Amino acid sequence: MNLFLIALGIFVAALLGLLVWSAGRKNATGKSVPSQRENLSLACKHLTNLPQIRQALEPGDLSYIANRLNRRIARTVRQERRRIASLYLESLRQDFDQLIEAAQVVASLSPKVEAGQEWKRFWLTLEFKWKYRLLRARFTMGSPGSPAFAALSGLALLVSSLAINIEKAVAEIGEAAALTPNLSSSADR
Amino acid sequence: MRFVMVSMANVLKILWGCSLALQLSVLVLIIAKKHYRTFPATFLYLLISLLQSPVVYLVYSTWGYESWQAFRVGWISQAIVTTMRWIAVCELCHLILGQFRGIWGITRRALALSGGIVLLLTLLLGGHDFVRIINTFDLGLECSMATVLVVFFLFARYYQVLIHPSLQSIGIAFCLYSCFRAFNDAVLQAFLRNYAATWNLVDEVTYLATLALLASAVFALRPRPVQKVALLPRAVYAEFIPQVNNRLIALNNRLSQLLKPDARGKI
Repeated sequence: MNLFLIALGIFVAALLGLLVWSAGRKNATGKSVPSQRENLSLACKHLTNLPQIRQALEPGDLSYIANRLNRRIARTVRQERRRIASLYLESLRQDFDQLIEAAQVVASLSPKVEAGQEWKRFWLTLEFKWKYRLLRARFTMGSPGSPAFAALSGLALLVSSLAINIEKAVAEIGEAAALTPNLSSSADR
Repeated sequence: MRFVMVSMANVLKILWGCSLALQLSVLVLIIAKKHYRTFPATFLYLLISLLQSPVVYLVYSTWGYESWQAFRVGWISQAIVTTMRWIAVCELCHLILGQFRGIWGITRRALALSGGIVLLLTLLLGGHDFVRIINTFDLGLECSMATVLVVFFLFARYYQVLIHPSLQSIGIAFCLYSCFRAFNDAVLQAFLRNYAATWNLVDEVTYLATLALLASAVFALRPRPVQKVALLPRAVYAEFIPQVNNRLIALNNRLSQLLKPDARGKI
C-alpha cells in the first residue's frame, strides 16, 4: 500500500474527527453572543464554601479521631475528607472554566485583539488544565504529596481574584452595550 | 467486465442527472430566497458547477472519454470550479466571523497559514509526473480547503461564536466534500487508470451528498443568518486580557507549587 495514501488517510480521518468535535457540543448549546453577554456576570460560586471546606478539612479533627477512635474509622474519615477536597477542586475547575469562557467572549467582542495575548492565554489555559489533572490524580490516588488546605485555599482565592477582574470587565461591557447598541459588524455594512 | 463497465457508465449518467437536478433546485432556492446577496460566491460556484456538467458531457461525447481534449477540458473546468469553491469557503468564513473584527484578524492569518502549509506539503509529497501533477494540485487544494474549514470551526468553538445551523451545515458540507475528494484523489494517484472510472463514481456520489446537505441548509436559511454584534470599546481588551493572563500565570505557579513533593500535607 502506498505510504502517501496511508498518511493522507490518517490526515483526513483526523480532520473529520476534529470537524465533528469542533462543530459539535459547544456551538450547539444555543448561546448567542448577546445572551453570552448577559450571562457574563460570573461569580466564583464555590468560593463561598471555603470556610466549610476549611472546617471539614481541619487537620486537628483527623488527629483527634486517630487518637480517640480506631484506625479503621480514621482511615474512613481521611478518605471522606479526600473526596471532599477532590470535589472542591473539581468545583474550582468549573469556576475557572466559566471565567476563561467569559474571557473568550470579551476577546471575541473586542474590535482589536493581540495575537500574542491570545496565544499566551491559550497555552496558559492548557497548562492549567494539565496541571489540574495531575493534582486531581494525586488527590484521587491519595498520594503523600496531596496538598494541604492552605495551598488549596490559595488556589481558590486566585480563581476568585480572576472572577473579580472579569466582573469589572463585565461592568464595562454593560456600559459599552448601553452606549453602542447599534454598532454593527463589517458583515452588515 | 464489460457488463460492469456499461452498468457503471449508466449509474454515472443517473448520478449526473440527479446532481444536475439538485444543483438546479439549490440555485432556484437561492434565487427565490434572495440569498445570492448574502452568498454571491456560493451562488456563482453552484452556477459554474452546473454549467460544467453539460460542457464536459459535450466534450466527452464529441472526442471520447479517454481523449486528451476530454482530459484537458475536464481538469481545466475542474480547476475553475474548485477555485470558485475556495472563494465560497472564504466567503462563508468571513460571513460568520468577519463581524468579530478582532478575532477575525487572527483567524484570517491562521487560516491562510494552515491552508498554505497543507497545500505546500501535499504538493511536495504528491506525485509529480505528467499525468499525476494536475491530480496532485487538486488533492492539495482539497486538503487545504478541508484544513481551513476545520481550523475555522476550531476558532469558532474556542471563541464561543454561535454559528447559525444552516451556515454550519454549509461549512460541514464543503469540508466533507473536500475530505472525501482529497482521499479519492489520493487513491487515484496510487492506482491511476485502474481507478479512474471508480474515481468518477465516488466523486459523483460525494458531490450528490454535499448538494443534498447544501439544499437542506439553504432551505432552512433565514433571510439574515448573521446577527449584528455590538463590539466593545478597545480599552476593555487592553485593560482586561493582560490581567487575565497574569492571573493565569499566578494560578499555574500555584499549581506547580502544589505539585512539588515538598508541598505535602494531610487532608
